[in-house]
Amino acid sequence: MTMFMGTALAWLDRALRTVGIVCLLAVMVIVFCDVGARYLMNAPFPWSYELIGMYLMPAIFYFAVSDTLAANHHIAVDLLRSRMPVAMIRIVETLGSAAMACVFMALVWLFFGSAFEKFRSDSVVMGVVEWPSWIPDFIVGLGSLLVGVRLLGRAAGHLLSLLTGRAIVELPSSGSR
Amino acid sequence: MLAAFVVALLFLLLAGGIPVGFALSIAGVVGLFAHGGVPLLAGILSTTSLSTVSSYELISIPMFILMAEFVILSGIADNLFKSAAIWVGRVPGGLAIATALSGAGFGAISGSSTAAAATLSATSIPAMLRQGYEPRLACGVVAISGTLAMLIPPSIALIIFGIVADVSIGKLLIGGIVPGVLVTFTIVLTVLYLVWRNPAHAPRGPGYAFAQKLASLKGVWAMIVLLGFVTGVIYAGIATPTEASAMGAAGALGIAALLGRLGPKQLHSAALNALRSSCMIFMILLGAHIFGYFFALTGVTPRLVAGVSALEVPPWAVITVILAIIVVLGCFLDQIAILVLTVPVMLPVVMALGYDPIWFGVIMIVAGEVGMVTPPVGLNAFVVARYANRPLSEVFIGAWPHVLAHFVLIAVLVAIPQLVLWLPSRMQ
Repeated sequence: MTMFMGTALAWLDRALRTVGIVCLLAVMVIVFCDVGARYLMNAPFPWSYELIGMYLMPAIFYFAVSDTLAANHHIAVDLLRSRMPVAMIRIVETLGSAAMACVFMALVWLFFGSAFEKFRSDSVVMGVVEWPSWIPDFIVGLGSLLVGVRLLGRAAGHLLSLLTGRAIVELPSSGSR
Repeated sequence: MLAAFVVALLFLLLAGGIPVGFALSIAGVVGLFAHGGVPLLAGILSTTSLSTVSSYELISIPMFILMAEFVILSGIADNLFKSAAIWVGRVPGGLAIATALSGAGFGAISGSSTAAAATLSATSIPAMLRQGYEPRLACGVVAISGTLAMLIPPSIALIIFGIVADVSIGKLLIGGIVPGVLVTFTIVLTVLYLVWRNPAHAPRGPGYAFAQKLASLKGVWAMIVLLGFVTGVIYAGIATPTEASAMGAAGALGIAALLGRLGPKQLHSAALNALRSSCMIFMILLGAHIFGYFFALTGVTPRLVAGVSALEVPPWAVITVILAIIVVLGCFLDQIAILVLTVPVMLPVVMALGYDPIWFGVIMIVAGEVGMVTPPVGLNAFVVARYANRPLSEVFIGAWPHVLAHFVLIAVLVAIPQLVLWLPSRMQ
């Protein structure tokens, strides 16, 4: 069951981060072409600002946050941690992961709820085109759900490791990340 | 009382090794919940979680990181030290000076002090030791040269300062140029002084013909043109920093492709690194925003500003204390964490004293970088010791002359703010 969850999370991480990479490269291409079109043809893309701000930037962050956590890429200061006993590190990891999972799960509740409401009412943001307003909320909800589940798994893993004495999940690597 | 509890909780979480962005978020959420209950917390989470990452200006962070990844991919960064060593290797302390110059160049690419220190450790320390350099001199110059990355544009730290402080990112980036050059000169002058005192610590290298020097630029000219273009379009007002960052990333992609270093695998790897680094920074910014709301609602900042303004001490004394705090924090914390934790509190105090926020941003970065090579736990010193496999004490001792020289430079920048503000004031 644990292995299935881990595999499923890893697969979802890969899928969402691929979308994040596509969004990142899309921002580069759109802004580059926008500046070129403005100077060469005096015809900038009027939709670029709204598309990037509303959809692409949230996707770059929320679709990568779980993968970044899994890759231990979030920066932390672990000067004291290297001197802590393993049991203490497990307690800190359990509490920290559980607290952060609560924050992300609150975002899931808030943003899936509002995405559903906006989708049902065909809500749009008026701009150069009519942008469906449920999409950014859905992006926040989906990314938060994935990282929330990952954090809950971590919290449970560290707690079980603490209780059983077996390393069910590895400790984060040492050194300031 | 609540504010003190939440700040204590934040430092407890940070000390426990919880990622900076998560620690800020948790402390902020606890504070907001205690202050206004679920309705206040839900309202702020609903707006902040999306608005923090929806800002158009924010795209300069992933774009400059992407540019750095593509430049590194193209292999140009490896040639920087080689080229600098060929140009100045013959002068006393030449390889150490080449380290400072390539540190400035690598800083312009990477924007990360620790990444610059790690790269310089791998390339320049073995070369200096082979030539008979005194190990402390070699390690010290590498540790301090790595810090240039946070100052020379395009600096991620200055962009983050601009976002947190809500000041012009373009002016901040241009404001970093003169201090960046001055810091480089300070490192070079310190090396020359150390070698003058003890020439045996840095034997001269071989000389090269002018044709060989010119030929060495072949490996780096594309990067120089690209970085000159990016900084130039911002200074001339042709493009905003956001647009310049995307053009820089596209240009670096083109260079990597032209040099035949860009396959699908490399493109994926560079983009994934940029995505993760950007995500890490965005997480810190999100946490800082949530925490910042709590601070704003509890009124800590206005009380602090009023308290400092009422003190009967000259403004320079307050600035000195603030800079001392930043240097000390730099010994323990990452530069980005220092910025998001201190700017919302310190900047209103500094502005109430009549100082310019652009000047303060640049000064703050220079002071924070000094902390990164200062005991007990200067991060860059640890990186150099680990990558070069040298004792940590050697790095700290070697960096000390540079730290003292930096204090002199900071005093000069505080006394003459125009050194920072002149170039931004001439922007289009």
